Amino acid sequence: MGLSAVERHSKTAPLVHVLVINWNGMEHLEACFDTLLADAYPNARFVLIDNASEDDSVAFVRGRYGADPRVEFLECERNLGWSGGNNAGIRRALEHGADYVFLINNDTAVEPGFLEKTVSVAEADAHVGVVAPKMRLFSQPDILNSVGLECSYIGSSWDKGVARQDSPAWDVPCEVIGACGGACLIRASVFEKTGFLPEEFGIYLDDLDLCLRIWNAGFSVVSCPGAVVRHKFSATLGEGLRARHKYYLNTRNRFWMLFRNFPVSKLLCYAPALLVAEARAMGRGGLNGEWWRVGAHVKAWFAAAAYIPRAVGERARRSRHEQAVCRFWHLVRTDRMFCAGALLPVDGWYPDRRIENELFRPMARHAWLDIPAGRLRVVAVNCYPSLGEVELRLRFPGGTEAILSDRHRAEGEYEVTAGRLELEAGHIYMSEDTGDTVDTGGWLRIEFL
Amino acid sequence: MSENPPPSHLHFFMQIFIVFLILIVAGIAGLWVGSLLGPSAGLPPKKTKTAEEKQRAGEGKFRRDPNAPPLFFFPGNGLNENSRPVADELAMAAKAGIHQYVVPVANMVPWQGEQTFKSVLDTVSRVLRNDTDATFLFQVDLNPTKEWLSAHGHGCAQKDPTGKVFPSVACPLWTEECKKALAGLAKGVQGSPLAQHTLGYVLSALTDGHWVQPEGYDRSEVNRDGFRHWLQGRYVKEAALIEAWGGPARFSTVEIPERPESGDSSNVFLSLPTMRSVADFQEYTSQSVADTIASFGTALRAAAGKDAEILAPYGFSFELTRNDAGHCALGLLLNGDISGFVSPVSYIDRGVGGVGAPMDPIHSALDRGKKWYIIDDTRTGMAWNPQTLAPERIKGLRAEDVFNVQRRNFCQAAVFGLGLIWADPNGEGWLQDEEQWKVFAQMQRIYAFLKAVPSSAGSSFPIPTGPLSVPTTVPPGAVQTGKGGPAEGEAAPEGEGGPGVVPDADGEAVVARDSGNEEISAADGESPVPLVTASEAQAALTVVVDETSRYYQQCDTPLNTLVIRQALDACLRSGVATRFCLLQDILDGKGESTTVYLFLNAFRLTGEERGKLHARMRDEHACAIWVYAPGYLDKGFSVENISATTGMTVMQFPDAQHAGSVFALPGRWMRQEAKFGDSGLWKPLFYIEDKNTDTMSRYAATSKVSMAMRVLEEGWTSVYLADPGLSPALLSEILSMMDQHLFFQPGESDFYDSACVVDHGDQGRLLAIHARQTGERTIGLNGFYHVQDLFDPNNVGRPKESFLLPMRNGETHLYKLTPLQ
Repeated sequence: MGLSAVERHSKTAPLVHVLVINWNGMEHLEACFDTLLADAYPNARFVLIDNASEDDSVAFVRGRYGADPRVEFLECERNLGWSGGNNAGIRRALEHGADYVFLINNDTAVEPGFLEKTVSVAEADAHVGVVAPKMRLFSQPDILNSVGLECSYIGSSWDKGVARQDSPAWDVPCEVIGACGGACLIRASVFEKTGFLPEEFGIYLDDLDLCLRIWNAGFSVVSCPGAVVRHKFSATLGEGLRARHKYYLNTRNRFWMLFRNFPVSKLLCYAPALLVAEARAMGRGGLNGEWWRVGAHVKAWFAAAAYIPRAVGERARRSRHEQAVCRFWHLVRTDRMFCAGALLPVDGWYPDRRIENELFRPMARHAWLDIPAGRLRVVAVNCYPSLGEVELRLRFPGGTEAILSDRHRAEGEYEVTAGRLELEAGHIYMSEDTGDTVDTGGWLRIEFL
Repeated sequence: MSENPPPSHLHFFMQIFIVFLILIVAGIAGLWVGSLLGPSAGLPPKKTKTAEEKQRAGEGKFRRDPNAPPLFFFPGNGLNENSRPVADELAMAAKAGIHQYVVPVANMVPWQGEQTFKSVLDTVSRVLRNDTDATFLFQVDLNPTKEWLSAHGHGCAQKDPTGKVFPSVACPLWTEECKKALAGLAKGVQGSPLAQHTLGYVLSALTDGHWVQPEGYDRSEVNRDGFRHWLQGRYVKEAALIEAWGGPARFSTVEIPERPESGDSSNVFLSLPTMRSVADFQEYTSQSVADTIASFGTALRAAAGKDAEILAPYGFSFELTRNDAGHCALGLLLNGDISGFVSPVSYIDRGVGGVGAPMDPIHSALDRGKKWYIIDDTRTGMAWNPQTLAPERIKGLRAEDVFNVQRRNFCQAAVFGLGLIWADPNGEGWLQDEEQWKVFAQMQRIYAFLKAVPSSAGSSFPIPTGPLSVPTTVPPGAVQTGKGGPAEGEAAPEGEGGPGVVPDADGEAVVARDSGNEEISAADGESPVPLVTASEAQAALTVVVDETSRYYQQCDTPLNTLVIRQALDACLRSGVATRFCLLQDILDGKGESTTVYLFLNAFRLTGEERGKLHARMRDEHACAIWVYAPGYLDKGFSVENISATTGMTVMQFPDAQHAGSVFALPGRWMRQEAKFGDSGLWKPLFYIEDKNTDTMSRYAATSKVSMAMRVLEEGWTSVYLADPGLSPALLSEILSMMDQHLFFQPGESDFYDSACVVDHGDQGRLLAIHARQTGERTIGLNGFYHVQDLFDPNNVGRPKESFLLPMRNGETHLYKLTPLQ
């Protein structure tokens, strides 16, 4: 039998288990698996982790993709939640000898080379524990969803780059404090030291908790902007009881994450700020008449207090394994408490803005609008002429094009047929330069004559 | 004048000879002159017959090979079009020596006479153009055309959840049309030159052509009437129906019952008698599908003759977790005109490193001389690129992984003696790869060798890797002397050199044997046993699945996933020779005896049946492993029935209870305190309370005994696993306790590779291993054996008792193990 097999194996690409977590998400799976299976990475398994879906997700994937020998299934007996389902997949991957696991949500689509690029980053440095790809919005792929996570000194966390216009500035690989669990590559060997995702979190901040433990175990978390994943991201909590529960979980898990991972000295140091942040959040809730927010905070405090013994035990265990040294603090944002409000464009448009007594609609790099047949006038203005000309390419239904370009104001009238008007900005006014909350490609008004 | 003139008769013969010589010379000269003139000289060109015309005329040297390995190519629906990828695949198949094809014929219903048959001829001619030696199984699509369903489907059709319409199997209009089509097809074939190329027919209908009833009950009028008629046959009198159903019911007004919530594990069984209508309907559904197939088989047999193979995709009882899928009546087809069955490789775990288990109780069919074919429709990553007009392999899917998965599937076929159909299901060029066909050609050579050659006489038999022009079969008589023996560098023990397949000087495969053995048959004069006749081989474990118990389950998918699918996975990962049988066969005393019987879902047993099982266990001194609720249903559901079945005092939790157990013994495969089983809520759930048993595990939640063993005075052993979760480790542990030899040895890392084993005792064994993960495992042989990897003919070692095997994830080996005599 010889050692030839082992020798051959050493020359092959590392084995990656791509774990697609799913719960009743059949409508997302086609785009997800179509792109995953088109990827050229030579040694991957694509595992559908199904959290006891009731919508025939498994049958769909089995029927459509089951003949592909790379596709595997892990059917959970019940809904184990995001962490529980992923942990089951991670355990299975470790049993099967995976070198890496790639966690990915079902509502995503990957761009070619995502595995090759992330694995290359990890293979280049044995201390890299997690690689965060660049995540863009699914339907507006110019807009970023995440290039890693940010975390403030009071434990508030948000996606780095969320709602920003993608640009070369975001293409610089760097260390990040965490990776979004919606898509990230994790070295399999780190789980031996850190354990798995914290299932008690249910959802929210469990990815950051794991990343902080990975940092403390002597590994790093880095971004890999060359690898791109598109994600059907929603920045809103939604409405109703579900939204309230999400808010509570976020608040509670923030405390739990702090207690489990932040240095005691920092916790004591920033406790006053934490209190101020809590007071501020509850005060805002009260002023807005959203008393349920106040209730969620109070409830979270009790949950946090009850969690302290468990957190102490966890920290003691890590201390025994020499993982108590905080190695991530240099990445904690001490300049802000919370994420500045992230505003996502809808069909490429931001909310109207009054400019010189006229209403204009700011747009991202790309925007589109369904229009009726007729004659229309497009007016574009430039709020920041010192930063360059506004430059817009208009693509009308039927394929005809026009360009509007001027340092101050440009307009044109066009006879159009019914269909979709597509607009593309040639220049982006970045929020760092303008002081606005969003990156803008132009300000437009479209009038039907 | 000569003084001695030659005798007159000699002179006469000389003259005759000279005349003949002149005629021959003149003839040759005439041919030469004629060839110089050629057609341009005004002679009409000689019309040469195409291969197709030769076939139509019955000419050519074609002769069907009855001993051909049952390996087929299914070019899919692309064959019905002029598809370039499929044309290339056909050429590659012929070049590789694969001459058997499954040919799809669609739009057979309604039968339009010659017009329909012409479409069949057109389809087949595409194959014959490439391969004049082709033989066919016709896959007959019996789903009617949309037009027919529109015109005749009123009250006679059913819809699946996506809105696709199918005929109801209870529809007499449709069944008559189908019989007419089958008879028309068979007669057309017999009356044409296709007859000598035709091996048989595969009957396909309903979902995916696999006779799977669409999800949701068939509520067509004809099916309702069929159910009423079936009930009348079952109960005869309405009083009996009323008693059975526990309420008022009339044959003439019975409706199809509501489908119960089938995912609720805290409500596993139907409430009797109030829900007996559901059980009856589930039984009726399966029986009506099986009866329909049987009636088609009979009609086709009458038209096609006794030699035609008549196959059907049916009996997927290990795969389909829905109890109303219509596949739980295989027993009805085992004694009829259906000569075999077809099923895809399991879709549950068929990837690299997966088990890819059979979907069916294959040995129940094989034991009756029926055949079983596996469809290998592995996606290969090859596809036709319309831009470059060339086939391409997508980069992410490595050929190495694809070939390993195909090897695993082939190994199952070769080890169990099944047929195999390599499929390009949609004719997209999945198999448009020369390397791919080299792999298939090698598999065919291996299968031919295993089918033809006994293992008894030899230790070393290199399998050729030579050119593709090798004979497709190696008949037992094709023996050449002096070309066998051990591989280079390995000296076989004296007297151990034996038969083998080696490349001859031209690279062709021939059976070779060591000098000194003039006959292939064993020295003691016994008939040689080809290693692929797995039905008569010895096995350690029989996996027993029951069809009728499923009619009485309300909960299907969660329970069937655990007690059937996962248990099947455990069996194929435990590394023992295994048989897969229906419960009815075990009750009837059929099938080879084994030391261990695993009763997956024998939930329904009468007192008489229980007695039969106990008697068989006693007579064979066997061990019975019972899972979850053995014999729970007799006249009604009672935990006492389980006690009577298992020979232990069993109790029932009063309410739904969490399963999930902790192993109580320090085992070799299961560590003490190791967890196993399902932690969900189950009702009913049982535990053992019997001082005469040895406790093996306890429920994690309640500490009640969840698994126990008892050696009964009658001489057999009963192991009862009340927790419905059997893992590979747990089964390996139980088999070890029963002193069964496992090829896999426990170690620092337990791999639980997929393994297929067939054991012919002194004749040798076949062991196929498909690695679940990368690493080095120990294979224990339980005696000294010559070990040869049939995929790697140069890999021949000295006799071994065990060996270390480093494998990568997905790597596949097929070993022939020949005992040291």
